[in-house]
Amino acid sequence: MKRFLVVLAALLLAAGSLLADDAKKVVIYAALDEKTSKDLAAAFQAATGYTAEIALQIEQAGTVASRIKTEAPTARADVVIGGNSSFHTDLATGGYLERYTSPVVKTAGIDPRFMDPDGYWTGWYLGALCILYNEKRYTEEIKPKGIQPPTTWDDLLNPVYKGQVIASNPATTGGAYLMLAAQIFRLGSEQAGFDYIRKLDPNVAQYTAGANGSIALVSQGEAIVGFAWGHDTLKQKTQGNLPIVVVFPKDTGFEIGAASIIKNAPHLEAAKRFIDFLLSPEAGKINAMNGYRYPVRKGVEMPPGVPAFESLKLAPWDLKAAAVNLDAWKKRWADITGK
Amino acid sequence: VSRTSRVQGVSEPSLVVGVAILSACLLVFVLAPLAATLAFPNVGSWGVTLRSGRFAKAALHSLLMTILSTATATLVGFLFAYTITRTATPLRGLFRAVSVLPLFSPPFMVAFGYVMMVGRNGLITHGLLGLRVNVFGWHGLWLAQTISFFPVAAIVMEGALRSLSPNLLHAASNLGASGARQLWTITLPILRPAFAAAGLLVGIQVLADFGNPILIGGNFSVLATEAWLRVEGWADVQGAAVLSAEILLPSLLLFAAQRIWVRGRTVATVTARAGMDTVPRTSAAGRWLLGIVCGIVSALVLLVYVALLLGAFVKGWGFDWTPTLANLGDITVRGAELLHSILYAAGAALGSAVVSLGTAFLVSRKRFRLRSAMDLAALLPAALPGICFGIGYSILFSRPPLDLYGTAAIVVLSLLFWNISVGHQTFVTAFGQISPAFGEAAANLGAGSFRVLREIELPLVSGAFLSAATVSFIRAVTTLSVVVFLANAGNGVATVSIMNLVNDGFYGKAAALTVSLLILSAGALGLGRLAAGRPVDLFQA
Repeated sequence: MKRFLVVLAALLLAAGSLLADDAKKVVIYAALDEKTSKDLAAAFQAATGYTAEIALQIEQAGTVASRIKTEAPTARADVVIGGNSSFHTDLATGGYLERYTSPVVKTAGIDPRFMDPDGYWTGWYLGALCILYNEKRYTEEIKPKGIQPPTTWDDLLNPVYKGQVIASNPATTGGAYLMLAAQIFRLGSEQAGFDYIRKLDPNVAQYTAGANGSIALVSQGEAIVGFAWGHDTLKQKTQGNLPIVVVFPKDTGFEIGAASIIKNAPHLEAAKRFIDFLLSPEAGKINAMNGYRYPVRKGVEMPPGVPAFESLKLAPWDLKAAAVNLDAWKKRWADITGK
Repeated sequence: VSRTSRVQGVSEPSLVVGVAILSACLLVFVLAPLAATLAFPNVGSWGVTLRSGRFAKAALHSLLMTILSTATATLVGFLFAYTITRTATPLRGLFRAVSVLPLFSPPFMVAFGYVMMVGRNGLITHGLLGLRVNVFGWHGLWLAQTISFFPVAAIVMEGALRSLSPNLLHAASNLGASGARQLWTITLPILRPAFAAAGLLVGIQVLADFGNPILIGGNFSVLATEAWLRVEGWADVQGAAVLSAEILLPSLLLFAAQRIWVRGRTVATVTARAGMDTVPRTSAAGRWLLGIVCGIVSALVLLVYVALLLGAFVKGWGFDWTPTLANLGDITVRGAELLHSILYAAGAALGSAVVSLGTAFLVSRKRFRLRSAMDLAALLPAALPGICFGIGYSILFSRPPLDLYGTAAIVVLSLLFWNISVGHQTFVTAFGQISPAFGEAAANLGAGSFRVLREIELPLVSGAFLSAATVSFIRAVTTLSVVVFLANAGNGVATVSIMNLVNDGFYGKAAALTVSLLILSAGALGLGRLAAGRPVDLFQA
């Protein structure tokens, strides 16, 4: 009998510690690069004593968000981090998210326009659009004609790049749609934006399905110049030692990278602490150093070679207009390009 | 030669149980996930997706590509199989090896290989010939699909050619018929069911494939890529489900067409009577012609793998050809995923060979109420884009009553049932060529159906069993689209890591991981063959 009681007590203790551990744990679905996710989890663990488990690691936010949809109603993770805010807005609209506004936004003085107006997602980094070109092919084929390297959006319209530009297809990817929206916002009107698309079209060799398709193709020399998200391009260039040059045009578009708590999150308190943590200088630094993304929190050091966020002249940005005009703009784009 | 019209009814209790178990499996693991996927979209998104001009164009592209690629892949598959089985070309061994290679085409790498070798900046086209060739578009895709899927046709054809009794050919030869005439009037008509089976398998796989078109299609979009992109680009699971349904429709039409084309024309050539083993050889001119065609195709196949190897061992794939071993460093940390890939695929391959042997045996040899339904259900998975299968499993098996979220089981089961079609079709073709007389004789002597299957039919189709298991294994190892909805940290597989590496710009590491995955797979297949008491050489029956 005594033995039985001892065993029972041990079992209860074990169960108790499991439960306790379970409360101090956060499960993460990550739509970031592997290293950033891992480092963030480790830093959170060190800072809070909570366990941080990355249950899913896939860089495409669309795939991660899709899984949250198919796995609902059982929430398999507490937070989803990474991906532009449109994916999070889409999840919120579908009722897959828990509302949360971090107190850190106020205490750290973070610009509230980077937060979800409806209070679901938290913007925690920004990414800007960049132009990239193949250094070797530019030097061999374009430079001899006396043409400077491309630094502005209008430089891509030069007939010298006929059939040498890799662009992306707004019908196939949310990220590419934001690139189209960026042109409209940058130039101030729909008319001007689509005029730009019309002039660019003869130069385009291919509209890739993914938003960042130009990085591989320009690196391999399939084309000379393209555009993509700057943080992704810089990361790939550095990690893969790619033979490309990355330029941020003065008036460029940007995306808000978001994080959200999943509805019915099994560890709600831990999830909130994790979202708070993402806004910390420490998390911002990890994200900046690994992923080349600009933290929304000011004063975080960026890796060498990345222009300060303040130095970019960003085009005015209107997420609402981009969402409202989704179908109309995609259709108009398709009519112009025939793609 | 006897007509295989004698199929037996189901009366034994053990057989009834067999039918019940297999039907239940197909219901739960094929039809239910499909239904779950198709039930996911609401009415509105069916309308929006079906009315979209973009998807209408993609549907047209899909049909065009399917017709073109099926024709060429089936033809090339037949030529390879014919060369391997019917000629004494010294290169036969090479051709057989090459005809297996494209089955090992992991995501991303094949298209990257083509861009690197024959693209605008390609090693061969630009480096060697000074040309700027555009491989992107329908023509590049047609080439890629032909190369990717001819092996499937070759396997079906090789099995059929091997079991085709040479007696008829000897008789024709003795009567003075030329080799070409024999081919035209005897071999090809007898092979009609095999052509139909191969064409069907190739056709539905071309329809459902997203890997090649997404990377080499350029602006030429097809339904399967659009379905994938709905998920990856827009998190639009509903749209992806609708597009999957759109892919199913032509697949079902192909299925019906195949049935009509071969109805009543199956000829058994492995009969209970003894035949001669040697086959009349092909003429010298024929041998040369076949050798040249197979040689060109082989060169195209090898190109990709040379590019892949180069990619794994140089600093910058496509731009910095300095040799390095640095890319291999990353493989050690991917040990778990590599191991998962091999183990899950092995489990799925054996399981799918057993299940498809069962379905094919019942469909070919027995007459029962659910026969046509079983035949169709066993063929459905090949017609489903991997992503559709993955979505269905994710919806259905992430919740009670069968919650398999994050387990090895959900990955193994999905791969098992996604792969039964190739096995089923291979076995049906094999059974069609083996006269039921053997089994009937045994049955008359009192053997039960299971005994007939185990002791008589199975030894006769053991080559098909090996082919089915091998193809399933390779497809399972190299798929991304099925597992991307099911893999997590605990049950991750290598293809998901390859995708992440490509997205991070680590092309060299991605190539190195792919190479190690392929080497491990080839090793596992070799071991499997040794265990089965076969020569290590793949596909040598």
